[in-house]
Amino acid sequence: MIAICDLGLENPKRLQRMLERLGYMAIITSDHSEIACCDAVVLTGQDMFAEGFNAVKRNKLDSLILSMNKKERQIIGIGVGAHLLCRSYESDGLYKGIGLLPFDIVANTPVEGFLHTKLASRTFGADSAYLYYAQNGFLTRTEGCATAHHNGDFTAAYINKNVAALWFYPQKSGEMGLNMLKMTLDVMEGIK
Amino acid sequence: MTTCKRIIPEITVCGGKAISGGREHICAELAFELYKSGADGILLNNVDKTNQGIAAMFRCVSEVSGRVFLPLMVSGAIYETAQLKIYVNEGADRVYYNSNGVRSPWRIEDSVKKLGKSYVAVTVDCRKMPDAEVFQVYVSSAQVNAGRDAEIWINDVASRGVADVMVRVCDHEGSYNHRYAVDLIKKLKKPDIPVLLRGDVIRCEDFVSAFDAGAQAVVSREITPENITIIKRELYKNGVNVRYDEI
Repeated sequence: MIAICDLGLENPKRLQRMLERLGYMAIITSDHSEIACCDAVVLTGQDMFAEGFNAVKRNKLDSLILSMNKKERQIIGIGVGAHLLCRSYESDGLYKGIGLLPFDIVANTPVEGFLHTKLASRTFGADSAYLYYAQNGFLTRTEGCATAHHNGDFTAAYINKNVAALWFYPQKSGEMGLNMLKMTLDVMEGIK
Repeated sequence: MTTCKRIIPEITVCGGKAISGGREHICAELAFELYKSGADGILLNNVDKTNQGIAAMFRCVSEVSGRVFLPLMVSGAIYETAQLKIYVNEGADRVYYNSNGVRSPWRIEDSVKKLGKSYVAVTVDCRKMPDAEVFQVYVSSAQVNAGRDAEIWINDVASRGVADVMVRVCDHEGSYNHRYAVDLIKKLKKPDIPVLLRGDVIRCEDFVSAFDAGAQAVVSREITPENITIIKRELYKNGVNVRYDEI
């Protein structure tokens, strides 16, 4: 079972349907006891960074996610959710993230649309894909398993053991997004 | 590399059914066919402004968003933030104000403030006046002159924080005119937001001229599951940065 955390940032129904199409059971919830019972948790959101960070603090999701990390549950951040997993995000103020990934994100030129993205074929089984991005902050270090270019190279996906950060939106990237999400869940460590 | 230029089919929806080629289709099935054929997004345009029509449109958006994993846009009969919120909850990624945004621009700002800018956009219908270089905004299914200059209105909505602007340009009699549309996009004084061209475009050279003028995407009712692959292949061969090798 996969829990999609409802941060109130976007409608996560499409991600739920995507996961269901991949054969996973997924629930949309902000209830701690429900999330804690799941094998994996997904944080997703778009655009409203400050609201996302506030929602995490308000619902005390940060301590829940950290405890799930200790239990080696799979943790996936998508878009703003990927920022939330990092140490900090800076845009009109400094927001402290959950800190599972040792990165500090700084807002830069906004990007929205499909970008040609280079993939680590060992991880994703393909060399490149067109993936959909919609945000204004990226990890400008290129050490992940997928990189794209927009006013400089940036990391599109980073997977470390049971934690994955995807700065593209699989739910808007067509069939390739579907495959990428499946491969990410397959290659991640942790309870399955 | 900049983002890919997008080809977005427009589906006309009436009473929850898709109208294409003079026939009714199940909306989700037509959208899914377009998705599998390589569309870069789907625009669902509701032409039924009755309460039943709007309710049917909510269901239609929900069904499409469950099968199509692409940016999903909605336009037609958009009145207020509460309605926008329902569309977003049903799975829409972007909802376009048109006539009601022109009549009450504060609604646009209200929606941006409550939902975030990524969900709110504006579509502008305009006509080029005869013997003048002026484009006028039209409302009420592009039939009534709103008395606003299109360039000023587009720059105005850009300043209100919307995600993008979609423009459709007709001649003074109300027929879509691609040359006028390209002229208007070229004339825009670089609004800080993407501009999408909405028109009955089908020829490769018309797509190229729209993209050369600065349009980020072309939204067209003429795109079908049968012709979209051919159009994208032609554009790719012409050096346009389109999402192609996946299809």
